This record gives sequence, C-alpha cells and structure tokens, in this order.
Amino acid sequence: MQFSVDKNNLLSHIQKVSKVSPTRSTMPILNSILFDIKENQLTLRSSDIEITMNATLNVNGKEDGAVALPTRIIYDIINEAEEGELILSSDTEGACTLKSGKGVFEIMGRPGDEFPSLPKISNFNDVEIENSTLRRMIQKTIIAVSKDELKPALMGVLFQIKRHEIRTVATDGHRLVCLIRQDFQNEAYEGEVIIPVKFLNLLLGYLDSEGTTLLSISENHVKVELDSTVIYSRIIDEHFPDYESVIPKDNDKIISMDLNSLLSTIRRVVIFSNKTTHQISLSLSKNITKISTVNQESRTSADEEVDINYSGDDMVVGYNAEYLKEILRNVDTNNVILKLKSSISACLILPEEQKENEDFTMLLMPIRLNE
Amino acid sequence: MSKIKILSDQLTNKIAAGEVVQRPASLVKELVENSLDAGAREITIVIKSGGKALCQVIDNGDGMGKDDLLLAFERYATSKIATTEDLMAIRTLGFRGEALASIAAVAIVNAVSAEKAAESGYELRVEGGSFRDIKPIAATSGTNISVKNLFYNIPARRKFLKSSDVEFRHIIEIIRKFSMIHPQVQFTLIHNDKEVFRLRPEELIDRVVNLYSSEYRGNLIRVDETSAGMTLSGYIGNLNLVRARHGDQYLFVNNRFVSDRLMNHAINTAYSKLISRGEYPFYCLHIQLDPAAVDVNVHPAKMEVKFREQNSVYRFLEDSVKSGLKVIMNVIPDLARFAPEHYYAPLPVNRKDQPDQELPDTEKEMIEAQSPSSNHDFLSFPQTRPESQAEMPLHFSQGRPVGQWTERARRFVEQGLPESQVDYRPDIPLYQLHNKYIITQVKSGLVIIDQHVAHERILYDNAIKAMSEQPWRGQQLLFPQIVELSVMDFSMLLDVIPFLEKIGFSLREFGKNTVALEAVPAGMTWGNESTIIKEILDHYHEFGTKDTSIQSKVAASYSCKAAIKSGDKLTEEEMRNLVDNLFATQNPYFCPHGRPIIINLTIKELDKRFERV
Repeated sequence: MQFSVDKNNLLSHIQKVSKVSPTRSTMPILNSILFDIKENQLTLRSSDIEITMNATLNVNGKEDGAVALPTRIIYDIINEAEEGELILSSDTEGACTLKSGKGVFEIMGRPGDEFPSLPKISNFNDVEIENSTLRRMIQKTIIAVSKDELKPALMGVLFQIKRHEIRTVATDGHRLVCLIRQDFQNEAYEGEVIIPVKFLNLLLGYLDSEGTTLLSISENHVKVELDSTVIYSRIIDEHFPDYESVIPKDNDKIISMDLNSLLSTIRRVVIFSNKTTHQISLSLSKNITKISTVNQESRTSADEEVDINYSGDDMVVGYNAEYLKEILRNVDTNNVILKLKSSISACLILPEEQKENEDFTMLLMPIRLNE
Repeated sequence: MSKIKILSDQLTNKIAAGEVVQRPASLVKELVENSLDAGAREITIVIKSGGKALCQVIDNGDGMGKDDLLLAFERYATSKIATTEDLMAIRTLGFRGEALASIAAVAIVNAVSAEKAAESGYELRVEGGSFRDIKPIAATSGTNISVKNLFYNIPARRKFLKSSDVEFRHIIEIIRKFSMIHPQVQFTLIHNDKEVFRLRPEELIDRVVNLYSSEYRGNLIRVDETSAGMTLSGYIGNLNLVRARHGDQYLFVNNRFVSDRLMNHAINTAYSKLISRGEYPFYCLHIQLDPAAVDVNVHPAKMEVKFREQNSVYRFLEDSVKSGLKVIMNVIPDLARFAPEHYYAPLPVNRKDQPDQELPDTEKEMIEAQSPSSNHDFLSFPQTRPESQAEMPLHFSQGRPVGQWTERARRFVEQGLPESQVDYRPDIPLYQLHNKYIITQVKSGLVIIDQHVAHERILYDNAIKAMSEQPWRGQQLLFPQIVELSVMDFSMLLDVIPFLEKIGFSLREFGKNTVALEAVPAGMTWGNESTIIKEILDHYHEFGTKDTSIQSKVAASYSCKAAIKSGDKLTEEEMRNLVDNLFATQNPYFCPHGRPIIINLTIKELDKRFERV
C-alpha cells in the first residue's frame, strides 16, 4: 500500500473516526484505524464492534492495499506532523513507513484483513428526518438513558416510527422521557428500534443545523451517511418495557411554577441533602411549596419556600434532587407544570405549553418518605 | 428393693421418640415414607400451624387391615423386614418399626386405613401411646394418619419447637426431597387450609422445574451413567444455577435422601474448576446399587449411609458428574493453570505447604499483607465471631483448626489499634492495591483495609440504625420487578419483609410465591433488583436458624450484597469516604461475618523484616 495526502485533510478524517476507536479493548485490533487504499480513494475505518465508522477521502494512490495502524500513535504523529504532504507506505505484514518533511517514522501495524469487516446488512429502510427535529428528539431523551449494563434494553433510546408520527422514549427505571412529533412524514417504514446511546452521542456531534438526515434501519443495524462518513451501529435487540402503561393519565394535582426559581432553590437545598440519596422533599400547600431536606448524618438541613399556582390538598412528596434537576433543565418554557397523584406514584413534568405538533412528557418516580 | 428398674413401654417409647421425632418435619418424613413404602401414587399432606397443631398424611397405598393397624403402633413392629438377612437388603424406606410407636407416644394420633380389596376400613385412635379404641369405618383404600398436638404430653419438647413458619419450611424441604425422587407420585401440600402446591405425576425434569422455577428448564444437564452394578441418574445444574448457599443439592441412594459429606465432596470436586468457594451447584442425583452394598441402618433418621465400596462409589460419582459437565468444561479454559500464586514472587516463608505452622502472629499478618490474592488459605473465617453469634457454615472452616482462629480473632480485637494510631489525615494519600485493598499510612506504620468488608461494615451499621431508628427512603421503581420465588424462599421472605422495608425496599405480594418489587433503597446503584432480593434471601438462609436476631441477619445479608466488591476500581475520593466512614463505625476491625477488615503493619515490624534491628 502506498499513497500521499495533505496532512490537514487526513488529520480531520482521522479525528472523526478515532472517536469510535475504543481506548481499551479485549480485541487489540480494535485499538487501531484501518487504512484501505483503492486507486485514489482512501477509506478509514474504526470500530468498537458495536459501532463502525467509515470515512473516505481522495488521495494520491500509488499502490492498493490495507493496513491497520494503532489509533493513538497515528493520530499523534499526524497531528504533530509538519504542514504539507505525507507519504504513507506499508508492506503486507503491516509494517508502515510515514514520511513527512524530513522525518521518517516507522509504525508497526497489522495486516488490513485482520480488521473486522463492515457489517453485512441488507434491506435497509430509509427514514428521512429533519436535522433540527432529530437533534431535539435525541437531546431531550438521552438524559434518561440507563447506564446499567444489566438492563440492556434501557441503554438506548427507543425510536417508534409511524407514517405521520415519530417518538423517542428513554427511561432508566426511575424517570422517563417521551417526545412525540407529529410534523413528520415517512411513507416507507413503520416500526421501532432501540438505538444505543453511544451512537446517538456520536451522531449529535455531526448533525448540521440545517437539512435532513437519512436514518437507515435494518433488522440488526442502523446506518447514517453524513457526507464522506458512514456510521453503522448495532441495534439493541431487547424488548423495551411497556412505557405507555406507566404514564399516568389521572394525575389531578396540578402545579405550575416558575422554572428558574424552582431550579435555583433546588440547587441550594441539595447542598444539604444526603450524599447518596440526594433526597429532598416538596411540601405542597395552597400557592406555596416548601422545599426541604434533612441529612441525619451530618445534621444539616435546609428549607426554602417557592411560590406556586396550586389549589389542591396539602401533600408531601420526596424526590432525588439530581434526577429532578436534570429533568427540569430539560424544560424549555418559563413555567413548568407538575402533575401529581400521590406521594408514591409517578409525577408528570411538562412544559407550560407544548410546541406545535409536539408532545413532550417527562416522568419521575418519587422517593418514599417514611412518616 | 433394687434401684434399677425396667422402664415401662410407655416411657421407653417416649425416650425413643426423641430420636425419631424431633420436629413436625421428621414426623411428616416418617409418615410419607410409610405411604411410599405402601406403594401410594397420590399423597396429600395437610399441615396446620407449621405442623404443631396438625400433620396429616393421606395416601392411596395398600392400606392396612384391622390387625395390622393395631400392630403398626407397637414398637419394633413392621411389615418391611422379617429376618436379619432382610436387614442386609433393604429396599424400603422404613424398616426399624419404631416410627409409628414413637409418634404415638408423643401426640394424639388418628389412623384410618383400608386395604385395597376390603369393603370398609378401620379407625384407630392412640393417645400418648395407649390405644383408645378401634372401630370399623367407611373408607377408600389407603391410609390416612393425622397427628395432632405434637409433644402435648412433653411440654419441655414442645417449648423447643420453632415458630410455625420455620417448622413449615422444614416440612416443605422434606416434601421437596420426596417429590424429587418420586416424580411419578402426586404430592399435594396444604398449609392452614391453603394449597401450597400440587405436583402431578410427571417427568423428573418437569418436577424440578415445578419445584423451582421455569428458568431451571434450560439450565439442567441430564446425567445417566452405569458402571459396575451402580447406576446414576438425574440432573445437574449448569453455572446459571450456581447459588450462594447449600441446600439445593440432592443426593439419593436407593430412593433415600442422604446427606453424605464424602459424596457431596465427590460432586463438588467434579465442579471444582467451574465454581469458586462459597458457590454451590444444583444437583439432583440418584445412585442405585445393590442394597447389600450399602448400609442404611446407621442412624435412626436414616440420613446417613455407609457404602461398602466407598472409594469406587466416590470415583463413579465424580466421573459421572464430570462427564456430564463436559458440555460446559469444553468452553472454559483450564483455570487451574492460572493459579494466582504464579504472579507473585516467592514468599520468604514457605506458607503454601504449611499454612498452619506456628508462626508468630505478627509474621502471619505480614504474610497476609504480602499476598492478597491467596489470602483465602489463611483467612479462613473464625468459627466464633466477636460480633454476631450466627453459626458459620461448615465449609468456611474447612481445613483449619477452629481454636486457632478464635484465639487469633480474640487477640486481634483485644489489642486492636489504639485510638492514637488511627491518625490518618486527609492529606496522606490512599492507594488501592489490585482493586481490592486500600493502603494508607498511620503514625505507627501502615494499614491495609479490605475494601469489600470495610464497606460491608459501614452498610451494616447503617442498616441496623435504619431498622431501629430512622428508616431509609425507598426509590419507587417505574417498572416494578416481578420476582418469582420457590415456596421456601417465599415463606422466608415473609419473615424478613418488615426489615427490608425499613431499609427502603417495598415489596407487594403478587400472586402465588411471587412478589412485585416496587422500591429499592434510594441512592443504591445495583443493577438487577430482582436478583438482589434472591441473593439476600440466599445469604439470609445461609446464616441458618441460629439465635441472632432477624434484624442483624437481614442487615448482614443486605450489606454483603450491596457493598462494593473486591475488583471494583475506586477513586481517591471514594476511598477517602470509605475510610472516613469505616472509622466512624462501632467496630472497624471486623465485618459482620467476622472477617478482619484492617491489618496493621507497624514500622517496628517492617524494620525487623528488613533486618534493621
């Protein structure tokens, strides 16, 4: 294999694909980037098995071939290399020479055929989504994705796609976010997939603010093409829990309040809460709520009142303040609506008014208070 | 007049009863054995108040005529053997002819029995060992014996019976054993007028699945071996069925459940490369061999047997299980080659060969400190613990003289670390060794802290506090976890629920032997909540029924399961927090199970090792 290429051109592509390369893996080959030259086209590929990313660029090809080079070293040297042309060549064993300016650098790689090949996929269903919509749908739900490897189904965002509606849902068993958009048109595909959070984070980094993105969904994989890059990801092949049944319909205690004053109060009170449970309690009464916490161990406590609009019965309910904060930060209206039923059932958290063609619901489970 | 008198029959029966009938479960065992010996295909067991009020066994076996019925309650009266030669070739479960007489001596017995061909049966009442009356009664073929008010005439014994729940669990365990070896027989168990289970005649694998849960079906490995007149059949569990407690291990010899340490050892040896200490595989195995080759008349409870060819049975058992396990073994590399000691430089003292050699105490501690990976050889658990008095399972003390540890533990606690030595300051760094131990400097030298047991101690103290003072908060779950339990685990769970609730769990009964887990302690990041409940139960069970309070048992089980494990990477801050909290506990030196938490290595000792002094 041999080719020459401009340093900055190669660097920008390596930067992209290196994000997928795992820093540590049980398969050493995955800690490298595949360089594959065919005529004048160079394909860079990285993979952590779950996600595979391909980037192509035009170079001056001299000899076809492929080599897998260690991510860290190749990234560092190309980053530090002098401006101008780079010449890379390698033999079939994987020994690679990089020439840059007056420098000659020998890198030991692995033969290119050892690198995992692209997932073999057939029957893609293409779903076209506006970038702004997709970004919002991912950003809003991603906060509730579980980090618990024992619950694989919850480690991604559920996409439910219909002809005129698209939903994203995520939950970690304590909270849940569901975003429904009706301003969506798609004639080709109806179905649902759980997409891993790592892929979605990666995607967020590449989405342009304008335009649309084509999400290609197959039985086991999802694929996105962005200019010269293609990202493949496995789909989480698990059963997503029946989330609709846990979204309460009859929560009749309705509170509306100023989002910022609530958030800043919580931020102050949480300082005094128990460091493991982060538990705070909301004591609701007519038009006022007291937000308080007591930490038995450090004998600290906090109490602060917030004005609210509420006319129901008095009630006390406890929450994990960290969860509540994250959820409230997700609300983008000046006021927030809380709908409650009892101190042990789910609380609905909603924006003051929904955006057009959108239904945005968040849900938080309380912490039981032992009276 | 001579002082020595021949005791009356009534009195001798009462004395004998002590051997045969220890608790309602042993009574049920005797009655069910009789039913099985009588060829019953359907056996119904009715229990009230854990068997203290009523144990009734109804079968459809051969039944007895009038004369047999009368004789059955005499001592040494049996239909099962007649000559000494018979004793050498016992194929029935019972044979001693003591059981009914013993039972009749200590309870109110009502027996109804009818022979197959007979038109009617007879009813016999026996109270405190003396016959009340016998009269004809309409009855279908079979025998129906009800035993009421066990030990009503021996208040001292009655006092020693445990709570109804505990006694009932023993009964379940007995019936479970019978039902497993007789899958072709229908067993119905009724407790306090509620049907606990009804096991219809079925294949062994279905029986096992019905007794445990459906997850067992895909995880059982069939064993079928024959060699030199012995056959072994049944099922062993794969690694998914490995549990943290003994109990789900059943070995039958000629249809009889036996608990034989040697034979258990044979099976465990076959598993040895697959499981670690403190893990117990599931098995349900049946050895059949010539009755003459095995003596069951070793103990009245007949739990023990003697094999004439002990070694060949051992080898047969080990080899058979091994070949059954080949399926799993093939995919697992030979772990024996990766013995951890290979990674460490040889120690100055040859401790591997003589672990119990009398070393000075300080030296021992140092050795332990140097070789964390193999400290299990040394740190066998003490038999008597300074903190909780719960009984230690037998396996923990294997191969180590008990007295030695007790002495060591005692000295350790007495000497402890003087207050002034625990002077570690926040600016002194903490190191984590092999993601397992935390090392830090104190005035007198250095301390090594086992992170798992340290966290366990902290959680234990907190849990006890939660139970007695301020209960913990529970985080409600969005999707309640449905936990399916065996009858036994379910009944055990009912005991501990009030305590689990104090530490933040919330459980609701959800159908038969099933609970819905609705909340878990807030702030706990645990993963699979439903297996946690099962593990806590396993651990709780392992504690046995000793006298420690339920509260401290639940707390210990919880803390053991919730604590960080050895192998978990900790950040500096986490370590700091752990150590801070540890020194704030009541006893930072020993964990609730009695394992040491801190090992202290003084500068003086170090100087000595480096031959500076």
